[in-house]
Amino acid sequence: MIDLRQVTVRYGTRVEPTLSAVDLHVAPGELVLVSGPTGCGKSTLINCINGVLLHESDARVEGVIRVVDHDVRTTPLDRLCRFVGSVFQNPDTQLCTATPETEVAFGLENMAVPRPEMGVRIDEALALVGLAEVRHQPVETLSGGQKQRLVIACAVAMNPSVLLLDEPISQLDPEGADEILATLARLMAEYDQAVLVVEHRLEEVARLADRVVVMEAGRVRGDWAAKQAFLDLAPLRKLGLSLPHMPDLFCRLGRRERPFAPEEAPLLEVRHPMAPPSGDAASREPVVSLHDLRFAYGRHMDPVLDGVNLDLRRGDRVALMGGNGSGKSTLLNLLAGALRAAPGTVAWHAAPPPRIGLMVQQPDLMLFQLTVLDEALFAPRHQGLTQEDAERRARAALDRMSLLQHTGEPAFALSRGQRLRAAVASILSMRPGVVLLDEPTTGQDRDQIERMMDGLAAGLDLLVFCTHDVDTAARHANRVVLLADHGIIADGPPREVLFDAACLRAARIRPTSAQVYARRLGVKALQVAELAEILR
Amino acid sequence: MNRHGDGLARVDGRLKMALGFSMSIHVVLADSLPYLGLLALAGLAVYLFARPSAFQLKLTFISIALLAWGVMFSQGLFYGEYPRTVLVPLLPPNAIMPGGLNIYREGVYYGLVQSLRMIAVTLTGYAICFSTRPDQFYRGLLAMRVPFSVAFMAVSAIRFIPIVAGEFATVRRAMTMKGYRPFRRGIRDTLATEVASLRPVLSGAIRRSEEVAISIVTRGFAFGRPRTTLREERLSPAAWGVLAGLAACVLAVTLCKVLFWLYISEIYYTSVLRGLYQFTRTWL
Repeated sequence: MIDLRQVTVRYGTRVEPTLSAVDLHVAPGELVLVSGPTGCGKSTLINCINGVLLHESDARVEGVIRVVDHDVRTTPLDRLCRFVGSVFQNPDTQLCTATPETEVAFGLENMAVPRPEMGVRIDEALALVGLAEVRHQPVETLSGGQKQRLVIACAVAMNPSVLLLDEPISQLDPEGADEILATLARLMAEYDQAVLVVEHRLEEVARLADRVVVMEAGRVRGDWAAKQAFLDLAPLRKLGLSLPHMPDLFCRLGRRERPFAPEEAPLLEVRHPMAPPSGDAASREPVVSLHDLRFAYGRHMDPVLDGVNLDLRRGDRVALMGGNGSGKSTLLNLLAGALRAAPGTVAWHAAPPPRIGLMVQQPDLMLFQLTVLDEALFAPRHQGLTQEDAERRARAALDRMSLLQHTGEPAFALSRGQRLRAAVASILSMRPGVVLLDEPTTGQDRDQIERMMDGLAAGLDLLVFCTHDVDTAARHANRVVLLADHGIIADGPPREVLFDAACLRAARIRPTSAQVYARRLGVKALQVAELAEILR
Repeated sequence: MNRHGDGLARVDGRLKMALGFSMSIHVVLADSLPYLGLLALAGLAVYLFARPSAFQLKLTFISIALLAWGVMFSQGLFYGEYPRTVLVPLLPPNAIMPGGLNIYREGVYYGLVQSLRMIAVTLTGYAICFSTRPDQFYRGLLAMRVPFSVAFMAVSAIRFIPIVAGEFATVRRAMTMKGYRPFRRGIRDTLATEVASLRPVLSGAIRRSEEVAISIVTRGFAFGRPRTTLREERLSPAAWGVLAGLAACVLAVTLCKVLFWLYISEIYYTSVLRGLYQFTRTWL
């Protein structure tokens, strides 16, 4: 179905190829997962196959690209789309009409499908992705997962033989990601399409895949059957990929078997006790207290937060977790003062209150200067520091975010992970006592998240971050606050909160494989490293 | 967009566009205060039929008050025709300028006429904006035989306005959180920072339009290619009736004005039309 031979791609005047001598073959009914670190050429690969690169860009493409026995180079794009469906990362920029029904119809109308046939295809596609019930509902009222399922329906309705998905779950919360994976599973069961999924969330997608392809710097570094892919994890670990928990655990333990699902893994003997949690949180002095905090976005709107009481203490590294719309970002913005709380409901204990650095959900919107150094200089300059002092601070902040070698580059020329770190550096240069991060993990690979969080490890009184990612919370938080039903439903050390099944369900958080396995073992280990420690 | 399916929101997009178009012709043709007042009232009725929210009402009131006050004040102040009557003396003669500075009654009246013109179209425009979803607008354009690609681009641009506005607000918030206060570091720095604040919004808009473009070309979108449509957009008999009424009104007023203009220009006169001349002079 997909046949790539010695494909090399160069953008514009760049000498270094983005793809280099790539060979890839995908058979009908096969789901191939392509993974690799940010910037390795995964999206370029997708755009090679769907013809966008050859027909809509000035990239120089060498080699043979054939899809369903058609040469992509000589087949016009409007013909290619009849047998290649594409789904991209952000559902909001792929939906262009008002309702699911008209959205699915859009592609069919472009293909001049007769009206009666169009109706049948729309019904089938919407039923496949489970959106038949909401076919007339305005698109903007759908959840992220529903929107991405709708995008898949749009592609499927065109009856493609090949379906390409470029990081389809990277922007979604766990619930939305589960919806997409269930849809993919159903699609694979009912159709005989060749499916290529580009994704760095291996844990979720690998279990559906027939093959796993790993790329690095534009080259294919490995192409394995799914069962073989995780036998040797060293190459994947070297690339900084987020490894699936169970194969990672069994590899660390030096065992031969590589179970994927925690339910299928053999129960091992717990040989060492868990290390006790460190520090007594309650004895530390509070930095800020929330008293009966209530907030609604309009006088006649339902409150997003209602009756929230919380003490955040010096040294706290708090993960705010909860489903979409649970009020995580609102709480963060109220702490930052970007939203106005009722007097007395947010009380800072120090006078004057500590300096607060807020990173908004889209870090790109925090980058408005010409170079990375200027970004980091912006805040200290506006604090009235001399150029020399400002530059010292800016360089220190960039050093913490491992960006010193990029000081003269425009921020927009950096990779996504580097842009995230540049945004954090631009607030660290303020020397804030409190840093608030709104969904810093969305769309980022594990390596980038770790580098950013490592840079934030010291020098702060308080760190609060919103996340859906249990792994990040387990690794970097010493306190987890779960939000649901307009308020806090759990607050405590990660080990306590993230093992409360009822609270996790209420906060729409999916436990990781490591957690599920730990529960089977009767221990409260959150991370693979902790499990490996007690089982070794 | 207001409550979907209520009031003006239920009306066909083409009909709303025709309403806006006919209102704009009427305000150009109208000269008399009663006629302009009637048009402003008609605009108000259409506006209320759109069932604006409290925020929209506030926005409309402020913009119209500013518009009317600005036009009446400036016309009253700078009215240069004669005769003119001083309504409010601001500066006595020879204080700064020989004739003094006054607000003239005729200027205020002229400003009132002009602002009524603007109020009528502004209210109608707001009503259409508040009650028309982008897709309704899109279908309306297609049904009016506007090329698909043009209609699609226009509606896509409208769809992204709230997103761009939201992003701009986020950039401002990020700047404020980083300690930026306009003018604190001088005008030059402020200007540079204000311009820089557009950078992430613009690059976001470019990135988004690229993503939209890639998404739609991979779904078969191509300029000028024949395509089918899911539904045929048909106007109801009532809508046809309203359209005919709007067209008849525009034609009738245009005819009256043309005949009256021919008469006062001494190009064509007939005594049979004396009633029409009188009506046009008094009411139109």
